[in-house]
Amino acid sequence: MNTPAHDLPAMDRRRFLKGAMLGAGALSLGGRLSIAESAAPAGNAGPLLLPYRGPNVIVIRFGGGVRRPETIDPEHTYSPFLCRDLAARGTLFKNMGIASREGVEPGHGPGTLNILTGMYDQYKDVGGRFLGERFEAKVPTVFEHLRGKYEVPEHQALMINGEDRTDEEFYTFSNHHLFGVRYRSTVLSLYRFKTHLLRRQIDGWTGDPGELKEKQKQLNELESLDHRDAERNRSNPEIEAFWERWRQFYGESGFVNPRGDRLLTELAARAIRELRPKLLMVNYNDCDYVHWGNINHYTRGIAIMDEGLQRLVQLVEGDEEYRNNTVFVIVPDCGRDNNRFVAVPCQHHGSKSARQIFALLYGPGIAKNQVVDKSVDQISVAATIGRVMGFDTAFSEGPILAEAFA
Amino acid sequence: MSVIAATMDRVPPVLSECACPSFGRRILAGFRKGLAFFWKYFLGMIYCQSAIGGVLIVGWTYRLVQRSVLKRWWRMSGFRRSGQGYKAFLESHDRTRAMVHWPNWVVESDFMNVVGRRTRQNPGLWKGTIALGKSLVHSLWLNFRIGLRGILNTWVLTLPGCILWLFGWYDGWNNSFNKGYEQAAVGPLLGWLGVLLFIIAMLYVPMAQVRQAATGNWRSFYQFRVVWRLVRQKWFMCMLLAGLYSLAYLPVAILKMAPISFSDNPAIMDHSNAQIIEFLQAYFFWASVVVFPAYVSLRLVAARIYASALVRTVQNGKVPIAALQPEEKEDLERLGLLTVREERRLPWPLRLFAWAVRSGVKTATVFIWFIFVSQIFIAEFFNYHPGKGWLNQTLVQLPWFHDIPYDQLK
Repeated sequence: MNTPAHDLPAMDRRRFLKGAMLGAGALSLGGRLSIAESAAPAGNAGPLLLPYRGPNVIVIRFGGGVRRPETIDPEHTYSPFLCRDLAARGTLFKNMGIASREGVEPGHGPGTLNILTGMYDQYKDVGGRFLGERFEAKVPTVFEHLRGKYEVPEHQALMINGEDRTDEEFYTFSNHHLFGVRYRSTVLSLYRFKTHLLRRQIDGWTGDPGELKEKQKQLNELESLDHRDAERNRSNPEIEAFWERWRQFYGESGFVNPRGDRLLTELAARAIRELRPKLLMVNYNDCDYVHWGNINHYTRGIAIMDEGLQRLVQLVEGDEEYRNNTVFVIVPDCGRDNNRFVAVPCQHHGSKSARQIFALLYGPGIAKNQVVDKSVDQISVAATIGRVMGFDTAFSEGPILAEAFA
Repeated sequence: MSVIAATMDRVPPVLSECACPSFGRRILAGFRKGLAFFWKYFLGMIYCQSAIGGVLIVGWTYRLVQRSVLKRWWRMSGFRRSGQGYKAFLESHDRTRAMVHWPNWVVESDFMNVVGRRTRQNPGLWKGTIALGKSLVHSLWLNFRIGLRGILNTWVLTLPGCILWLFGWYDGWNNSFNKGYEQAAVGPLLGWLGVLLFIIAMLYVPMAQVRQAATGNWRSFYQFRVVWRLVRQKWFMCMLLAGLYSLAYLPVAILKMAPISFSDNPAIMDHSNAQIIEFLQAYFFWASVVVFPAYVSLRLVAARIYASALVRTVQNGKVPIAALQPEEKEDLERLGLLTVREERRLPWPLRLFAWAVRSGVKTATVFIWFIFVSQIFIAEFFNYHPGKGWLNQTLVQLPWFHDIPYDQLK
């Protein structure tokens, strides 16, 4: 049950047969269409979908890349809320790891997809760019599983992204033939706000045609980043309204709203208040600036995430609908180096230490004040979210983190 | 008697034993030279391990450069063709006699003979002891004094660019971290300004360093017109020198970056802190096998360029004789190189062609120095050395190559 996933075969016989049967069924139903697409009528409200009544889940990607000492070690922590307060209220898996398999890199993109899909893969940038992280998952993400089973509108399956990593904007759905774009999650980020703003400005443009052309060009550039063409022409009234409220509050300049990882906290807080997500993932990332050598960017980045986490927990605890009905899953995308041979020991993340992470679960049904010492895998997070929300992550490899459940 | 004397005058001079040594003596001399070479090399590697050692290397190298410049001039002169050896030329003057041998690191050159002579000149225990003490640390003091003057001058021109890199890097990424869009340009501008200043400095500094070394006078480093004339006289060679700097920096950069990969080496990853310090000490010592000769060789190449450029510019009148330091004027006079030659004026199409070629070479030189700077930035991205990584460029400033993170290994 709790065997680390790197000891398991890539796909067992039962899972293969299950997938094959579903695939055959899909082909018999509609040729190129997936089961869900063919079965669900337009508007995503298919008869197979059940109303969702389970707890909400908020996944905090405590990234980009943190080590255990600066996070969960009480003597060296820069995240006191996580380490001293929240850990006592939930279950801490202090020995979570990323498998040392060939091609499995301890990075932000792969780590995020490990969490989302529950499967390790050898991810390669789809455009073949050097250091590019535009990856496409082969198996469904937890968002797709949730929306494939339950009637959860796309604006309630949310991912919050930073502005520096546009590649991660497109981890919203997999290429799996049974799932895919129809069950995608929705991303809230400055990238999305910019596209919203440009579309809005272009629609109501009455000024100089040259300026309009420039704005159209900017929009085309932003939209061209989405090579799967999934987001274009898919307006969602709730999301549009969200961005309108954001625009009214913070204006259009981009100089008024919070910045960096604080922006992610603000987006998440507003999303909880206004969109009421069932599954929300916040992809913090700024401590990764230590790549450039300034160690305080790492420690400050962790402290800022910790403050963000505290704010979100307080927000949830103050919200009647979310209080006692929300599970937090806090997990880094990857660790960082612990290189004692150099002046900045955690500058990059490619070593054994970069595979050493942790996970903290907190909320109703989660065991309190429990520390689990045994080795577990990052890919177990997906199945555990599935267990909390009541869906089966059939294609994930990692076993459920059973110790977390009280 | 007069016949005998006349006959003796016609008899060729008797060759000394040194002029035609036996095979055994040659082997022995070669062995002694080899031993001295490795001893100096070994000490140079040790000195690369500290800042003070770096200063000593600068001083030692400047003394070697001075000797090298003289040797180049001697080769260019008619002395070589007339059969007067370099050693004889050096020994023929008090000031140059000490340059017969390669400079020493600690004791005075030709230590035994010098001590004997001084003891004879200073009879008495007290005076003799002082004379011995002076000879014992003569080179050490000389290396330090010359090195300090050398590095101070080099810093004056190169450090402003390096300081701007430090601030540019810090502020640029600090601004990215804090998303300070309003000041987004500050960091990159500081960085680019630093790059520009450093490249401009490096068009000048290698020749100025050699000039300071050759004249033994720190003020000559700032003879901007003279030094710039030399650079302009030898643009192509200066471009090649920039290329050598870039090429030599490649292994140095790799050695700087390499420790980033050590933490996953199964043989050493579980070492205790004390073992890591020991390992890194050995690493940086052996890395100096590359760093030390790279530093010295670049200056010896620069010395050759300088020597021929100075003679050429003096002879074609571009550098007035009055601008020379008294010592170099004297040396050039002794070697018969202080002559003025009329340069033939080329027809205008050739002048135009030469101008076009020179412009291309100048552009290429700037570009090559940019490559050198790029390597510094790339090395710092992979393995950041707070402060020192920007402020000390091993091949340009102090050859100090020792980056052990003692603070975290306490």
